[in-house]
Parts: sequence; structure tokens; C-alpha cells
Amino acid sequence: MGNAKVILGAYVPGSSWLHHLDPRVKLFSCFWYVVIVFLASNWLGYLWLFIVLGTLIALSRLPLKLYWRGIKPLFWIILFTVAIQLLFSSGGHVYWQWGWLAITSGGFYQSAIILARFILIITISTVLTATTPTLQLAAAMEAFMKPLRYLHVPVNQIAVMLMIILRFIPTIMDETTKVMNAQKSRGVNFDEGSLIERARRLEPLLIPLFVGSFKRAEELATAMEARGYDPDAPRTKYRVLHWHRNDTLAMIGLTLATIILLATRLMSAGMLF
Amino acid sequence: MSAIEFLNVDYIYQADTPMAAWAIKDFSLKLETGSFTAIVGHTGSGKSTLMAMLDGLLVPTHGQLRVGEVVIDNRADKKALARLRQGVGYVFQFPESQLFAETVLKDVMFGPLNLGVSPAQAKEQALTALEALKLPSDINERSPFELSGGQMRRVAIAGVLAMHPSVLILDEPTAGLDPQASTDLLDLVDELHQKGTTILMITHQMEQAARFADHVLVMNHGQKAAFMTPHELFSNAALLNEAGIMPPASVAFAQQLQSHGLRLADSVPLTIEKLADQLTIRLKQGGRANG
Repeated sequence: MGNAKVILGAYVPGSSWLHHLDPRVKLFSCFWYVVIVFLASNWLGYLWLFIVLGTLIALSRLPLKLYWRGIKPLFWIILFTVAIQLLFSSGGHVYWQWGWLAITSGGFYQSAIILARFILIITISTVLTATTPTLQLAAAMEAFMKPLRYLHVPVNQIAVMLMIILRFIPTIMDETTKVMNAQKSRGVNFDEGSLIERARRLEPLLIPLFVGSFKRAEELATAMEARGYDPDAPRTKYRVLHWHRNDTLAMIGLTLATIILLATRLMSAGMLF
Repeated sequence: MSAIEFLNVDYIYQADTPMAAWAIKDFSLKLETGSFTAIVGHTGSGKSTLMAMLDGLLVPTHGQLRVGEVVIDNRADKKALARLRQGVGYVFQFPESQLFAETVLKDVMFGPLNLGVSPAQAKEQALTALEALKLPSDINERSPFELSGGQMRRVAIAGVLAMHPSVLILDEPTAGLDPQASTDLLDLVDELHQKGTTILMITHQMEQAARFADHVLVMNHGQKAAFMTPHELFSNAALLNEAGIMPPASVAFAQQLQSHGLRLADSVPLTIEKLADQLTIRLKQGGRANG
């Protein structure tokens, strides 16, 4: 059932050090981490990235199982990509060859890098989304979009839209479960039959969901207008983001992590030691 | 399909995760074929979870559920669940949100067709169901989305009844209906009960439980707080207080009279009519207090 599953990227309540960080710091750090993943140039670099990730996971005080759940849905895509890299990359010692397929030491090296990057990027994103409520994430995105205002981008409206989307994802998920149950109860079997039959069976699910969503959108618009919502008015915030000492510490940590990673690059170039 | 039996059933949402939540705890109950059970309790007391298990939409985490020949436990396969759903009809809260077909008739035929009934037979069952809900026949070819709210509700209920369930679950079927529509709907449910359908109705209105049900199941924190006849339940002030249930107006009225010294032969009149009868008897006896 829908609500019995852990949703990919859902917030897990907690009171760890990471949970209390400013969402802007967390969003920026996550983005930055993804950038420096591509700067790692040798196994030492990747080792350091894994150490940083491990530290963050420990700081989040959430069970490892949860992070594994983040990777699991993408398991086949990862496997496929790694296999492609393994079979089609060339260079180095050849271990096995069949026609134009070959497993080489270069292929091993390339696929190991791809695998490591997948795991690092997916898991760091899970760290972010598991420790940050979605509305806080939206507030952080809004903060980063602010400069676009000078280019006449309607940042306020985009932010409100983003908030509404995020706010209604769980509602629509609930609604989906409800309609699905109602149709199952009327004898629909959603997970049997050929692909076309299955697609057909989505009709009794999608139409009620569309009708419901349009109705809800109209009600929401009326309610917002009744309470005087003006898209062009300057917005105030109910939850104002404050910068704390811990946020400064986090930024220092991020800088240190980056410097150490850059150092591992120099090591491979033989400029250190 | 016959008697319903829950045996030590537990249901845990998101079991084995940090968010695990017990919805049903060690629940056992036996319901006779053809009975009418009202299910009452606060929001989150486990009423809907219990009914979802009965319709094979959720599978018990522990324990066993039997409906006639069908036995469901946590190893139940899809076939068993499908077999269960064939005999159990579920009218969800605000069922009008499940309508989808181009015409009313097609929507009502949807359920029977899914059960493998022939199109001609499905049409006949659909027409009978629509008629039973007193819907004018000229709406059959119209889009369900053009109808009024009350009509949409009745079309959705017809969609369930057309499947001829032997067990019918209703989740607050009268929520949001006007008084006349509510009365009509409840009379229809009562009629189905008289014809032998086993009824389970979730309700917050004790008047409905008192008038129609032969047993009331009181749920509290995922457990069975009480299972007794409405008469037993509403005469048990301590239990009502503990479960936070207000007795029906007629019972409350009789209790008020009693506290002022006017005793009725039946101190728990379950309906306004029964209360009126009691009062008439008292008046004929020469309506003095302390009689």
C-alpha cells in the first residue's frame, strides 16, 4: 500500500546536529559535495569522500538501512551503467574479450569510478532530504533564487508555486492510495496482465485524481484570494531562517573537506611528499 | 461467503522502519452472517484499518482473518485477496471521488465486469442497483460529473451494490448528505440487511448505531474497547464516558428525565419513536413523577 512504503527522498523527523542546521547551508553543501565528487582524481580522493559521507551519515543519527533504501530503487540503472562501462571501456590490460566486448583493467577502473559516484551522489542527496523538511528546502531554494529578481524573474510566485507543489505531494499520494483502494475494491487488479492492459487500468485511477486535483486547485485559489493573496505584494516569512554558530562550523567543515580533496589530487600528481 | 472472524490480528504501518506505528493490536472478533455491526471510535482508533483488512486491501501483520472459506494472514497471495474482494463490497468515505467513466451506467457496470460477469448481466445488475438507489433512469447515459453531489454519492454506492456483495462495508455513508438523503440511504442499507447482507458501518452518529445495528463495536487505540448490543452499550454510562461517546439524544433525554425522578420502563430508548412510546405509556398511567 502507498503509505506503507518509505517514500524516496522523504524527511525523517529527528533532532540530530544535521537536522538543526540551516537549510541553506545543507542545500549548498549538498550541491557543493556533488561538484567535488567530480574533482576526485584517485582512490585517495574517493576514500576521503566516503569518509566525509560516513561522518555525515553518523551525524544524521538515522539508520544505515534508510540510506540503502535510497539506493535500492536505482539499483538496476546503476548496475546497467556499471556493466556498460565495464564492457565497453578500453585501455590497459585485457582480461577477457568476445567480439567487440572486452573487460580491461581500464574498464574496471572506469566502472568502479561510476559506481562510487552513483553511491556518493545518491546518498548525499538522501542525507539532505532525510534531515530537511521539504518546506525548509523550498525556503532555501527561494533564498538562492533571490538574485534572479534583478532579471525580472517572478521569484515570489515561483516560491509560492514550489511550496504548494511540495505541500500537496503527500495529499495527492494519500488520494492516490484512496482511489486505488476504492477501485481495487471494485475488482481492479492493478498489477496483473499485459502492459497495455495495465495502462488501460490506470484510467479509473487517473481520471478521479485529475478531477480531484482540479477541484482542489480551484478551492485553494478561492481560499487564497478570499484571504487577500496578491502575487505581486512583498512577502513576509512565518519561519525566518537564522544563521547559527553551527552553520558557520558546517561551512568551515565543508571548506576543509574541499581543501583535503584538492590535496589528494596533488598527491597523485606527485607534487606532495 | 459467511461469518467473519478476526483472530489475534495486529496491523503495523511501516513495520520495520523508524516510523512503525501500531494501528491494530491483538484484535479478535466474530461476526455472524447477516448481522449489522456499527463501528464507532475516535479518528485514528483503527476503524478504517480494520475495514481495509476485511476487504483485502491490507494484510494483517500478525494473526488471521477468516471470511467464510477465505483465510487471510500475512502469507496470503493475491488470489486469496481477490477472492475476498469478490464477496466484500466497500463504500468508502466520500465515494463520489472514485467515479471515472463517461456515463453513469458504464461506471456502475465497471465492478460487475471486473468480477467477470457478462456485459448483459452486468448491465442488468447496474440498472437494478441504480433503481434501488432511487436514481431517475434518464441520468444513466449522462456523465457522472454533471450530477449533483448527492446523486454522485448514490451512483458511487450503486457501483458497489451492483457487485452483489454478501458483506457490505460503509464508511460514514451519510457524511455531507442532507437529512432526507441520509434517511433514504440508511433505509436502503437496512433493507439490504433484511435481505441477508452482512453490514459493517463506520459511523460517528450514535443515533444511526442505535437505530440500525444489532451490535456496536467500539474501537479505542487500535483495540476492541467493547462489542455489545446498542442497548447494553448505551446503558453502560461508565463505558461511554471512558470511550468518549455521547449516547443518542433519545437516551440522553430519558436519562435527564430519570435524574429528575421520572422513571421509564425502558430507561434506554434507542430511537425517538421508542422514547415517544415510553412517554405515552407513562402519560396513560397518569404522568406523575415518582410513579
